[in-house]
Amino acid sequence: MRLRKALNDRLLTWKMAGGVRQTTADILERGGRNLMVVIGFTIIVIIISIALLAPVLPIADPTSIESGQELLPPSSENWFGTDENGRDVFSRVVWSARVSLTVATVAVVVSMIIGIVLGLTAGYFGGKVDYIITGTIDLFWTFPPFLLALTFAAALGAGLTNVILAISISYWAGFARLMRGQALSMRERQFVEASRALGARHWRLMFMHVLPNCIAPLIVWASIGVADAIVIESSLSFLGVGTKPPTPSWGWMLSSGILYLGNAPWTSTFPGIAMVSTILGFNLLGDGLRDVLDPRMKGLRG
Amino acid sequence: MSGKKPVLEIRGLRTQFFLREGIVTALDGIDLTIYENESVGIVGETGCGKSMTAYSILRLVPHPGRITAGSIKYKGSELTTLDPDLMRSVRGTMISMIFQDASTALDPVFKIGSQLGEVISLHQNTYEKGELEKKIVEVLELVRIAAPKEVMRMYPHELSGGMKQRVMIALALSCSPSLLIADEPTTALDVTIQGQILKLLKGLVAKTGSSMMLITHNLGIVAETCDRVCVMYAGRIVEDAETFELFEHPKHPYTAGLLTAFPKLGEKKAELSVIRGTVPDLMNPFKGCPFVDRCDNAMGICSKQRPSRVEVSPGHFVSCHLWSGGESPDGG
Amino acid sequence: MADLVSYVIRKMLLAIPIILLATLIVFLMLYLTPGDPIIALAPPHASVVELDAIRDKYGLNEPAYVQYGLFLWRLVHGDLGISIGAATRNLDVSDLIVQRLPRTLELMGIGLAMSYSIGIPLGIFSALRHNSLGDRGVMVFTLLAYAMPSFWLGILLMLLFAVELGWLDIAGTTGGFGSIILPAMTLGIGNAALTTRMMRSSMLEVIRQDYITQLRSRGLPEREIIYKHALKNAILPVITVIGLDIGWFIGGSVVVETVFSWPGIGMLITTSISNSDFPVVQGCILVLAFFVIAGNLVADILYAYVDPRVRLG
Repeated sequence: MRLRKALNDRLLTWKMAGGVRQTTADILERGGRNLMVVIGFTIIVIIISIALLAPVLPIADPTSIESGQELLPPSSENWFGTDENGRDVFSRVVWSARVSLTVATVAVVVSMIIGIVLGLTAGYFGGKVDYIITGTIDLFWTFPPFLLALTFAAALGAGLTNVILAISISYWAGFARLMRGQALSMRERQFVEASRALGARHWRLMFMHVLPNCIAPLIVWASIGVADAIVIESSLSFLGVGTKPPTPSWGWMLSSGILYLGNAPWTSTFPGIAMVSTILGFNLLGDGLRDVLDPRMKGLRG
Repeated sequence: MSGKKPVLEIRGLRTQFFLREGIVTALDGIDLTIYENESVGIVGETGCGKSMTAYSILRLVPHPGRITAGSIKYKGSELTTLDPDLMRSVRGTMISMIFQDASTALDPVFKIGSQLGEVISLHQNTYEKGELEKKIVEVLELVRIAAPKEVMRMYPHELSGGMKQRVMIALALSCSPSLLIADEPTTALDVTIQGQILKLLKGLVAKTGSSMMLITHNLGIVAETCDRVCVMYAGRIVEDAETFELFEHPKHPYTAGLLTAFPKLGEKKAELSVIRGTVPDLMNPFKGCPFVDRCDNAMGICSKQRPSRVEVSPGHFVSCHLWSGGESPDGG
Repeated sequence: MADLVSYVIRKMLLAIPIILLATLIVFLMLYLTPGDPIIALAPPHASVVELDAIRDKYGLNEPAYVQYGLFLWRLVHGDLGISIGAATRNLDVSDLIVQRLPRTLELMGIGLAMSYSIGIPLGIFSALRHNSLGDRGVMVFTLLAYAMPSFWLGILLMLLFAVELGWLDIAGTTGGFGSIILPAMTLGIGNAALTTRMMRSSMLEVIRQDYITQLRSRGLPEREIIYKHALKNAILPVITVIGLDIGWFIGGSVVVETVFSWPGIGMLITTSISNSDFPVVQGCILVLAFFVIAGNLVADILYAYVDPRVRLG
């Protein structure tokens, strides 16, 4: 996750203190003109819609096992063919999107909350509190999130909740670093000083003044976080420590499909394409937004 | 003037930047002549095109900018249309440049000796190691670096600001150019070191007999160093005269404003007078005089027609409607 | 050089608490684990008394901090416990790891070499032709490669080179050089994409620097400015993160080894997880964590070596 490190550091050094306050409207306006953002956003909207509509779509039950229907190639009946248990691959791909997106989103939200609370606390209070929290952040920051998630998942065992937990514990450090940096620079800003002079309470100050100013980098980080979380979730499922069968999951479908690569490649290619498109969508959105938000890229062509 | 041979003649030079948002005209019709053994100062505010003039002369205008009109002649030969390979041989040997901030303009990962050696061996065909080292030491001694052999083996970050600027001067002078362009050579330095560097530069220019184009926003430096001064404003040269003449009889309202803003030695002022208003947006082309919005003497014609360059006294040129057509300032 | 030495010592001292905390997390894994690992060690239908005797033998009846102390003590002596998996029961975990480690290192080494030999030239190409069709093509490649989880990339490569073209072996078990190409490529491509992007942006940044204009003003040939000066400046920050790449490769190797049945540490982790062989999982993760920490240290040192200003901080 080296790019993530470089990226986070860049977001940290981002000069918000220059008096340029990036409003959400600003971001939307400039984002609408960025090709990466538009493509990424479109992919995400399509996939989320399909995932949300899965229960009402006229598709087969992803778990119904049909004997005599095993490993059928794609046809008008089964668009993406059937798997080794005679289950409809298309339906399973759609339901997997639901599972993966849920796991990734919940995990990112949880790690974002952990990160925001710890990062703000460390950056705002400074001193001993900061020292202890920063130490913990650095520890988690040292290790690749996948390795951490694997460790926790191996200990907790497979299952939806355990995967979410494992990813959340592994991913919060990035958010915390980001928030700590922002809180540190915001502390010096005038309106925070002024509110402090007026006797505003710490928590109110942090949430009402510091947090709203960090929305922009948080959106970037969250979008990339969802992509990372999908990679981690599907990799864990592939290794057998992620979601548990019969819950459909792209990673899991691929790990069983690998056995039929020679005679039924559709069992692994379709879930793979769906998974990569989703990851690509979130990466594009995150990268594009970062370019939009990074003032260093402004004024340069391309 | 007639007895002197020109080293550099610029006529109607225009440099423009083609941005997505529009075209920015950084230089708009520059006329400038630099004679042999002459030091010419270019003064003006930040962003008026001083440095861009230097980059245009060397044809190093950064992308997406380029020279769109005009001519630049070096000892009679045209540079704007010169073959790129030949242009490269002009750079460094005939026209050389000193950059503003030596701490960013020296390659941080090569040793001083290697950076100097590269330039010397390229232009003087010196490849033999001992001879090359001798030449490097010579040029470092020329800029009064006390321990040239040690400095040679150092990286730029190991040197102080003043030392780095000395190395920069050594780089620029290593191939004895006929024209030296110094772009704010002392701005990045401590005040105490500024004087030393300036003195060194002045001495070296006199010693080598080269001409110098000194870009600065500091009128004190100009008064001390230059024979002639060009005042630039918004991509144009608005006034051009011998230093003494310009300081004594400024004709353009902008020059006059600059001089009032500049406290004379021994004169005590409670406050520096500042010229009101801001520089026009170079993206929007304007028909008239660029200074019109800030000028106290602005007339109707000033916003409609571009003032032409007139010689008000021998060698003193000004581009201002107050002086064109022989009118006196009171007449307007 | 003296400041570099003191910097390295300082960084090494800072790595100690991180190593300690890593061991603590790995130690605590045992408490998170559902079920009792002792059952696996005991003979079938063992009585409560027998189970307790086994617990005593392994010090499992001691308080947690004593157990952690013992765990550390054994660790310092290279003792990672014994395996409780069905196939490897009672074998030393450290022996199992030492056996597998060379294969993982071999895979990582070749993967790393591949990712750099693809990423660096591609990044330079892209930067020098900024905004051209070629540059855009390279950027699309990096986006796609980065969006591919390694197991999916592995499957694709297998489909292409082994199933469709029949050039290479499908699994890594057959040995020989041909079998390492696909897994190393799978491991390397994701990182090649990152290296390309880093190299490209580093090069683009360097080309805009004052010293490049300064060198041009001396009349140096463009080729020399780009391939000598710009390249050396741009490549240094990319090379220094080689240590951080180790972390990336360690995460990736677990998945890639499983896809290709490559008999390294990663594969050992996966099989041990499915066999509930926790001492082996613990041991492997500790070893991998150690590599990550060492990699970070290498990155810090390399960075300080090329940029002396860092040492003072």
